[in-house]
Parts: sequence; structure tokens; C-alpha cells
Amino acid sequence: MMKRFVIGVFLLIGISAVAQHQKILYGFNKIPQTLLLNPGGEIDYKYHIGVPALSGVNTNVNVSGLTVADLFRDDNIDFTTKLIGVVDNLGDNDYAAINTQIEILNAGYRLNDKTYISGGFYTEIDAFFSIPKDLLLLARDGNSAYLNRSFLISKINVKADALTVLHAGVSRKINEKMTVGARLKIYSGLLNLTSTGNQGSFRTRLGANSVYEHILSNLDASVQSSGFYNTDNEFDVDGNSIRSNAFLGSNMGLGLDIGFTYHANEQTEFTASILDFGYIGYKDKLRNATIQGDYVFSGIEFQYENNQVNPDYWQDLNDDLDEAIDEEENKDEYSVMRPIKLNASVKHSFGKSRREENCTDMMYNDYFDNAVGAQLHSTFRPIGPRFALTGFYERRLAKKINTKVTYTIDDFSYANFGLGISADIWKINVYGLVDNVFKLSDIADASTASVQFGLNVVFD
Amino acid sequence: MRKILYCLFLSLLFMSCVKDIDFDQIDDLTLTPSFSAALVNATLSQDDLVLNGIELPLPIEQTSYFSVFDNSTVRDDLTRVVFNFEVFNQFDREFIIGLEFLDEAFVPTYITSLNVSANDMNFTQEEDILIANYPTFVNSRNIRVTVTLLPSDDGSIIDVNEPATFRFESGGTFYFTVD
Repeated sequence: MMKRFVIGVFLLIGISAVAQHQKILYGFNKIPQTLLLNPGGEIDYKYHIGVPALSGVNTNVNVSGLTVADLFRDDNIDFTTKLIGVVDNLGDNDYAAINTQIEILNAGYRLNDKTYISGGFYTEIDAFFSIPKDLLLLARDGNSAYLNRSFLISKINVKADALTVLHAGVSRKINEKMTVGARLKIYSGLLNLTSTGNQGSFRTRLGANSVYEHILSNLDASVQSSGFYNTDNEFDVDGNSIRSNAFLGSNMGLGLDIGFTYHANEQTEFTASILDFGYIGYKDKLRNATIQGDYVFSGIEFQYENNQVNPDYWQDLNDDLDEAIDEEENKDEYSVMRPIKLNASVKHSFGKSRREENCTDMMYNDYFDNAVGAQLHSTFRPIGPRFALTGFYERRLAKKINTKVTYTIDDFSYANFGLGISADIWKINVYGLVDNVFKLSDIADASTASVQFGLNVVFD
Repeated sequence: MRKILYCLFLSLLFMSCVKDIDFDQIDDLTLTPSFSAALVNATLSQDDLVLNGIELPLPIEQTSYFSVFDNSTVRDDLTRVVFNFEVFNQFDREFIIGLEFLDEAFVPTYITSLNVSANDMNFTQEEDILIANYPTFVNSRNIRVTVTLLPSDDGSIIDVNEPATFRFESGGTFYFTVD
């Protein structure tokens, strides 16, 4: 069972090692979906309609500290040796993050020269869990090798949501320099599992009055879940229940995206956006648990005074534990903040095909062929903000064909090169974005990789 | 049709971009964790050994239940146990500590004893049990510790006016092989 679970996790990583957090898409204004990353982006279409379920398919799985190939490469190295090495090489803050979005519907319409409205509906799975090296060492080696070492419960962080998002936004050109935008999101939560903010430690040491002493200090941990258990606390992920919550169901929340584009001059622009500033309130199929307390165990103390009758030591130990460690379960409603994302960029465009307007020259282009810039992205996770810095070069091959090359440094890679292309073919916008291109031939050895594609019907 | 093409695309992507990966290797995983735990302690003073001027009829014993071996994984994967005993004896008398591991029917699964010399304040002893040699040890559900105070050479008894302590401590390290 455990082996199948481990294989499943790594298969998911392998399959999913296709997607980054949309760094290529950000600022790629020829793709309407860029408005989901910056509501203040500048779209020049008259209107667009995403091909249902194909306008935006994006899966994002990143794992720091290890890859599928580290463990499962067929290299005649003993698997146990590889696992030991992988765990030893983990850092204190390694983690895995999974985000999958599938657009069901996406459309936009230009109200006038200044205003573009857009909206849609998409499904999302977002999961984050830290990889607790401490606890993996404890499971792998036991505590004998780690006397006096504190194993921290705070290293356990899990936050996972499955949800749908109904959204509507507006991009408004204030003046020639500034465009602002906002998007309202209505979240419908399907499943949630949250365990964050945990505290406490476990330590074994040589005892002063015993051979060993086991110390559980300041334990304060909790887990909250929605959608997994029925009223009898039996595991029950029910398709009907998930469907009933998929659209304005029991678990509702609100979120806001805001953003802007500012042109310092004809060639230089600054953008920024804040995404998913919001929450979901969970009310359906809840099961929560908390555990708190301190306990020190140095062994069972046999009482030989006056040759008394044998007490029930084991029951006394259990009673002691129950008294010292407070465990509770409840079905209280709770709210979870969505992972807020920040984006910011600077872009400098240059190199027109022709420098001067010439009334007789049909080859004159009123756009710049090239642009370079940098982007900063941050997602707020339970362990703090995670950053990615991207440098990019954009090249407009023709009026309707745009390309973008990126280089990104983040928690997962120092050599992540991405490539994107968007083409308007008649009334169809087709785009493809590929990240970590040099690892595409061996995805199993990638901590991150990305393929995103989509089809939109667009009108100029 | 779209769904079929979509799945085919993803499958091709995955299959064509993955080199030399073998998930069956996980069947070769073997971990050998070891866990150390405090077990049983006891403290005896002179007042515990003498009542109304008469040394208590010994041996005296105490027994405790423990459920560690209720877990099938623990039973199946345990390969070795090393017990550590430490005794601090301030009495000018010899003791014998008897340790018995008993199953649910209180039938012994493993027996050992400690011969503690008079005034030995740094007594240690280690017991190394290979489960392969003592397979019934994993049926243990109770531990009994018996204390026997050996008679003095000159027939004297413990003086209750002279404070002294006999302290017994035990711990174990449990070795597992997990496949």
C-alpha cells in the first residue's frame, strides 16, 4: 500500500513536471489568458472566446530537493542507497507545489476604446506540502541515531484545495500611460485539507534518572478538512457532493485580482498585479482535529513500597498521556486564505522594422520588434513567500506572431529556459508555452517543467 | 474526440520525454530504522525493604502490561532488541533482578537476570536478543521485574536509620528491517 502511494506521488510528479507558475504567459499580451495574471494588461482584441476546455490547460508541479530521476533512474544503483542519499540532501525548506487549472470558459469583449471586460469559469487544484526532512530522517533511521536532536512538528505544512472559480474582470485604460484592471472571483470549494502553523518538538536524550528520556514539548498542531469525511467520520469522497459544490455550493469564498500597466515612455513599461487576494469558507463535510500539550516519558516507575498490590501501570500511563495531551475533534466551520500571488515586471521595447513613418512604404510597422525585461513573481505559501526571478526577450516575428524566451531562477532550478509562441491564424489565436526546454527530453530529471497550450477565437 | 486527443497528447508527452525510469525499483527498498525507548525503572529505599524491623520476604515483584507488539508491522519487522540495564546500589547487600517477558497467558517468552554486587553504583548490563533465535519474543505482552535481596554474610539486616537507595533503570533499542 505504502509503495503504491509513493509510486503514485512520483508518477504525479513525473506527469505534472509540466508546468511552471505561468511566467511565460505573464505580460504576453497577445494571449487573452494573460488577463488572468494581470487584470490591468493591455489586450487589443475586439473580443475573444476561449475554446471550451481548451483555451487554457495548465498544470504546475514543482518539487524542490529531488526529482523522479534521483530515485527511479534505471542506473543499477541500489534503490535504498539512492533514497538515503535523496533524504540526506534535502534542505530544511524543501517543498512540493501542485497547481492545475483547466479553463472551462473564457471570454472577453471590448466595450469601447478604453474598456475591455472579460470573464469565465475554471477549475483549479492547488496543493502545497513541505517535505519535512526531520521527520523523514526519523522514519528512515529511527531515533537511536539522533539522541538530543529535536524533531520539529512545525515542519509539517499542508494546504490543498480543489475548487472552481467564476470570475469577471475589467481592464480600463485611464490615459495613454496607465491601464488598470480588477477581477472579482467567486470561489466554490470542493475539497480542502489544511495543516499549518503547527508547533512542537520531539526529542530523545539520555536520562538523568533513566536510560532514556523522551520529551514532547509545546505540541500544538491541527488539521482541518472538508469534503473527505461524512457525518459518521468515515472517509467518503463522494462525486455527487463534489458536483453539488462545484458551482455556488456550500463552500463559498470571494477573491480579488488587481493590476496595472504603466508606460513610462513609448518603449518602457512597468506592470504589477496581485492575484487571489481572498478566502474560501468551508462548511460541508467537515472534520477537524487538534492536539496540544507537553509530556515527558522516562519509563514506567514500578512501585515496590511495602510490597503493594500491582497497579495497572499501562493504564496509568495511558491516563497520564490523556491528561497531558489534549486531543479534540470538531466540525467547526473554518476559512482558508487563498495563496496570494504577486507579479511585477519591467519591459523595454526596441527595434522597429522601420524607424520612420513613410506614407509610401507599405512595409512600415508601428510596433517594436523586440523587447527585453525582467519579472518577479511571488506566491505566499505556509512557509513564507516563494520567489521566482525571470529575465525575458520577446520577439515579434510578424504582426500576428509573437515569441518569448525566458530564463528563470527560483527554488527549483537555476537553469530554466522557457519558450512561448502565440499566433493569430485567421480568427484563431493559438498559443503554446514550454518551460525548462532543456529538460524536456528527460522530464523525470526536472524539478520543474511546463507545457501550456490554448485556443481562442479572437476578433480584432 | 477532444478528450481523446488531449489524453493522447499528454500520454505521448510523458512517454516520449521520460528516459530510463523504472518504478519497480521501489520493491528493492530496505530500511533499517532503530528506535530507543525507556522501559521500566524502580527505586527502593531502606524503608521499602524493612517493615517493622523485619526484612520483607523477597523476592518482590511488579508486572506491567504493554501493547507495543500488538502492531503487526512491529511484530513482523523487528529483527533485534538490545536491552540496557543500569543499577545504582548503595546497600551493602547483593541483589538479583529478574526480568521476565511474558505473553498474554503469562508464559515466559524471554528471561534474564542481573546479579548486582553490594555497593555497586555503576552496574550496567546489556542483553542482545536476535529475534530469529527467540521468535516468541514478539508475543510478549507483559514485563515482570522481580527484586531479590540476598542474605548478608553475617546475618545482619538493613538498618532503616541509614538512608540508602537502590535504583534500577532499563531501556531498549529495537531494530527493524522494513522491506
